[in-house]
Amino acid sequence: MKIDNFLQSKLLKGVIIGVGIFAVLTLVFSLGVFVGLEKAEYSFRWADQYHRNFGGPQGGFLGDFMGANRDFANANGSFGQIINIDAPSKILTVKDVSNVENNILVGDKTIIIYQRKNIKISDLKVDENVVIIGEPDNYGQIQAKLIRVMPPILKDSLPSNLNPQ
Amino acid sequence: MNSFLIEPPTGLFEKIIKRIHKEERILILRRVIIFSTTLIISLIGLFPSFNLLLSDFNNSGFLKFLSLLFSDFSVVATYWQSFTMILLETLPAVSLALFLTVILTLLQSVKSLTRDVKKVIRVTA
Repeated sequence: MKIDNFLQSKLLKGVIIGVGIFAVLTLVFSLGVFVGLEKAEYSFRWADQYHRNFGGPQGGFLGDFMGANRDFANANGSFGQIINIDAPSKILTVKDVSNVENNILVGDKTIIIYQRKNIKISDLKVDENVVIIGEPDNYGQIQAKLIRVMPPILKDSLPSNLNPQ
Repeated sequence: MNSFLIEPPTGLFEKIIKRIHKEERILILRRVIIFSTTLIISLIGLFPSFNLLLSDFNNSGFLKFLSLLFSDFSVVATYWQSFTMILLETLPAVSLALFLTVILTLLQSVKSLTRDVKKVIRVTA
C-alpha cells in the first residue's frame, strides 16, 4: 500500500522529472564541451601552423587565432570566398566572414558541386563563394568532403569584409 | 456555562469576506502590474534579440550549411557526421537561448496576464 502511494506520489514524479532534466542538461553540456574542444584544437593548430600554411604570422604568432570576432574557427567546414587556388597541390584558400583564411585540401574523393553538376578543382575560380564541409587535419587545414559552389551573391548582401572592392 | 460563549459582533462575517476580496483584488492588481511590466520588457527585447539571432545565423554560416541539406542531400547523408558537427559549431547558441528566453517570458506574461485580467473582470462584475 505504501509502495503504491509512493509510486503515485508527486515526490517521485518530481524526482523523475528532475533526473530527466539533469540528464538532458548533462548531455547538452557534454555536447557543448565536445564541440568547443574540437573548435579550440583546430584553432590552435591553425594558429600553430599559420607560418607553414600561409607563409607568415597573421597578427603575431598565436596573436589572433580566435579570429576577428574573438570566436574559435569552425573545424568541420568553412564558407566564404576563394582567395587562392593552388591546383597542382589541390589546395584552396578560403576567407570566411571573420576574415580567417582556411586552407582547404581537395582529395580524390572530394565532391565539388556547381548548380546540379559535379565539377573539378580546375573549374573553380577565385572570388567564387563556396560552402565546404570536411574534417580538420593535424596541420590546421580542412580535408574537404563536399565543396558547394554558391550562386553569385548580390554585392550589397555580403558582409563588408567579403565585398569585392 | 453559557456565559462563556462569545457572541461575534454583527457584520463580522461580511467584514471578513470584504477584507478577503480586497486582499484578492490587491493581489491580482499586483500580478497584473508585474506581468504587464514583464510583457512590455519582453516586447521591447523581442526585436533586438530577433535581429541579433538573425545576424548571428547569417554571420556564423549556419543557414548556408543547413541549405546543403536541401541542395545536396545524398552527399550530406554520406558525410552526416561532419555535417552535424559543422551545424553544432555554427549554431548561435547564446543568441538563440536569449531569443527563446524572451519568447518564453513573453508567452508566460501573456498567459498570466490574460488569466488575471479575467479574474479582475469577474471580481469587478
